[in-house]
Amino acid sequence: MNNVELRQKLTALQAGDKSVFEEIYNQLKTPMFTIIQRIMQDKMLSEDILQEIFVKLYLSPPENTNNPRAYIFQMARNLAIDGVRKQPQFANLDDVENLVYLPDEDITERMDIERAMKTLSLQECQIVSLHINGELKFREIAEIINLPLGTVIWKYHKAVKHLRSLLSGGAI
Amino acid sequence: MKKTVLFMAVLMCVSMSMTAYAQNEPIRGGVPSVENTGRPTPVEDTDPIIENDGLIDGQENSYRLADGEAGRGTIETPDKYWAENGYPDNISFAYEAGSETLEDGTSIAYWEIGIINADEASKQEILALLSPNCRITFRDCKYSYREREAAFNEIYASRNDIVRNVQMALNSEVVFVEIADGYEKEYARKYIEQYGSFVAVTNDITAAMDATEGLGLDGGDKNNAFGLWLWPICLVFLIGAVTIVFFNRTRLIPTLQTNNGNIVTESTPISRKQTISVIKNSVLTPSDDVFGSIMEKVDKAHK
Repeated sequence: MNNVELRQKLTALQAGDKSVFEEIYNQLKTPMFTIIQRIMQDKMLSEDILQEIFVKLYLSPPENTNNPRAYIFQMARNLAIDGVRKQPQFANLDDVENLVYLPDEDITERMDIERAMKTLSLQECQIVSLHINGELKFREIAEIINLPLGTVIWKYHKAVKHLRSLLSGGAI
Repeated sequence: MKKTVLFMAVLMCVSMSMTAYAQNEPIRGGVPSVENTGRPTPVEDTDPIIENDGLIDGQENSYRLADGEAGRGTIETPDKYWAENGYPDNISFAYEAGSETLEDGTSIAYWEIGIINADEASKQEILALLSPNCRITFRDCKYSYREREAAFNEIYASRNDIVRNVQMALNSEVVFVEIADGYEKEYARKYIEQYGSFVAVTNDITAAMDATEGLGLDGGDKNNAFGLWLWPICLVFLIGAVTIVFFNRTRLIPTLQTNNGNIVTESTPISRKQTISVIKNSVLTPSDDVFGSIMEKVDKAHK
C-alpha cells in the first residue's frame, strides 16, 4: 500500500468508515511486525507494540501527514526501541542502537536470515528492515533515526554486504 | 595454485609494460582527478549505472537512464560547462553515467542532473541548455554544488590526524569525510550543525564511496597523469580479481559439520540481489488473534 492509497484509507477512517481499518491492518501488519520483532527479538512484546500502534491509528488516525507510511513506521520503530530499553538486561546500555544480539557468531557457518539479522547492530538492522521490508526511502529513514543520509546509505550497504557473507557461509 | 601464481605473474608483466608505455605518453586533458589546490573536479566514468540500488533514496531500481529526456540546446558536457561558468544555485551535480552509439551512428550520453526543488520550469531550462545528444535524468536534491564544494574546500583545508580525507560523490549530493576511529560521532554532529546533512562521516572512505557507487575526488595530491595510466592497470587487476573469484567460487568448499560430524550444509556464495530478496521474503507475521485483540481494545476505549 503506497502513501497515496494509505492517505485515502486514513482519510476514510477519520471520516468514520471503519471498514477500511482491517484493510490497513492486513496491508501493514507484516512489514511492521517484521521490523518490530527484529528490533525486539520477542514475539509477544512485538505483538503488544503492534496492537498499541493500531489501536492508536484507529482511535486517532494521523491528520495532514504527507507521508503516512513513514509516520506509521516511525511510530513502530520508536515504540520498539523504547521496548528494548525497558528490558532489564539492556537497561544499562548507553547506546541501544549499537546493541548486537549475536555478537560472536562464527561466520564460517551458513545462517538463516533471522539469525544473520541478529548479528547486525540494532541500528543497521533497522535501516535494512525499514528499507527492504518497510519500503521506506533512505531519506525517510535518515529522518526517522536522525542520521545523515550518506551515513544511512553507507550503513545499509555495509549491512547487506555483511549479511551476504553470513548467508554464504564464508564462501565469499 | 601453480596456475594462479602463473596467472598473477602474467598480470604483473602486462601491467608493468602498460605502465611503462603510459609514462611515455603525453598527458591528455579532460580527466583530472583533483587539482593540486584541492578543488574538486569530476573524474570520468564510462560505466552506465542502470540499476542504482540505494544510491539516492526514492530512486533505487526505479528508473532507467535510457528513459532520460533529450536536450534541445548545444552544451554537450554540462559538468565542464558549469565548472567553467559556475554552477547555478539549483544544481547539485551533473554526472555522465554512461554513453552508447545508436544504430545510426549517433553518440548518446546519459546524464544524471541533481536539481534542487525540481519543478518543470527548472527542468525545461536545463533541457534547453543541453544538446539533443544528452539524455537527462533528473534527481531531486537538497543541497547545491556550491554548498557542497564550499564544505569540501573547508574540510579539505582542515585535514589533520583526525580528519583524514574528504571526497565529494559525483552522482549524489553526499560529501564523505574520513574520520579517525573514536571521533566519528563528535565530528558527525559538528559537520551536520555546520554544513547540513549532506556531509557523511565514515572511518573508511573507500568503502563508503564504493557503497554509493560514486567515483570519488581524492583529497590527496595526485597529479593528472596518474589517473590516466592507472585505469588500464586497474582494469587488468580487475580482470585478474574476477578470474580468481571465479576459481574460488568453483572450487570445492568444505561442507559444514556439527560437533558429532553430521553434515549440515554446504557453503554456497550468494549474490547481493539474492541477499536482498531473502531479506524481503523473510517476513515475520503476527498471530491471527492480534487483530481481535486490537478490536477488543478499541471497543473498550469507546466504552
